Amino acid sequence: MKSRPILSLFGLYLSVVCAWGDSYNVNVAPGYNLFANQLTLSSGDLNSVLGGGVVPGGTIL
Amino acid sequence: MWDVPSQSFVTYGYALGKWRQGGTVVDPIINPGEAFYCQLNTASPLSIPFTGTASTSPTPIPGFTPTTLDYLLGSQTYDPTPGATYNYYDITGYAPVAGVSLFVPDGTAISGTPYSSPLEWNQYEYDGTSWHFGSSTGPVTSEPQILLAEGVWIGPSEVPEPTTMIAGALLLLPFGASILRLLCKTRTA
Repeated sequence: MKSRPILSLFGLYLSVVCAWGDSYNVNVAPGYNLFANQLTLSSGDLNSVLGGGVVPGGTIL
Repeated sequence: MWDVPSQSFVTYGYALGKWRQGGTVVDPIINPGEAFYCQLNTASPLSIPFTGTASTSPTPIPGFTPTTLDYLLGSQTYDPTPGATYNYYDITGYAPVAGVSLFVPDGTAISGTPYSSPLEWNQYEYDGTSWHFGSSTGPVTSEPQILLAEGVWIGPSEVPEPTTMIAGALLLLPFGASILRLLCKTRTA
């Protein structure tokens, strides 16, 4: 019966992997750029995407 | 980011590890299908990964009125096929209506809106039957397609200039005067 929790954990792992499986890269040039988001981003939102030193001193408008 | 109700930009700045809107610390949230301008202050270009969940079909934008309001948008759906393109329906969740235009950046410097800097944008106008390049009098073209992560403006094809609106108001003056005269005559009778 111990296999049931293991199977549940494996299912949870698969669902997480599938949920966050979509990704693409956006090329951002110095200066102004216009682009769009097509995904529901992770909980880190733009801190992980554009913040956190990725865009030092950057501005979104 | 573009705020539709106020028809103006909302600006977020990143400094000291936090996003701020004015003096308030707040994380900007960009939902699928929303486009935005990003000012990169570094000397070198960057490649930024976007990771999340994709929508298989577009959600019609609530209260969408592109014949009167401007929208800054991108596709709501994501197709992992390399080179995949997206159309008006993928962006808005609706079929186009007459008098609406889609503005794609033409590859030169980008700033403001297609109305403040029209030379930087390629306009595609829908007349109710066909898409035209430039304006409704321009050549008929196929439905505009945009690329992954590409941002576009969608809005009314023509925005009356202030002088046009003043001229229109002046045209109504004789009409108003005749109504006043009619009211005065009715009272004296």
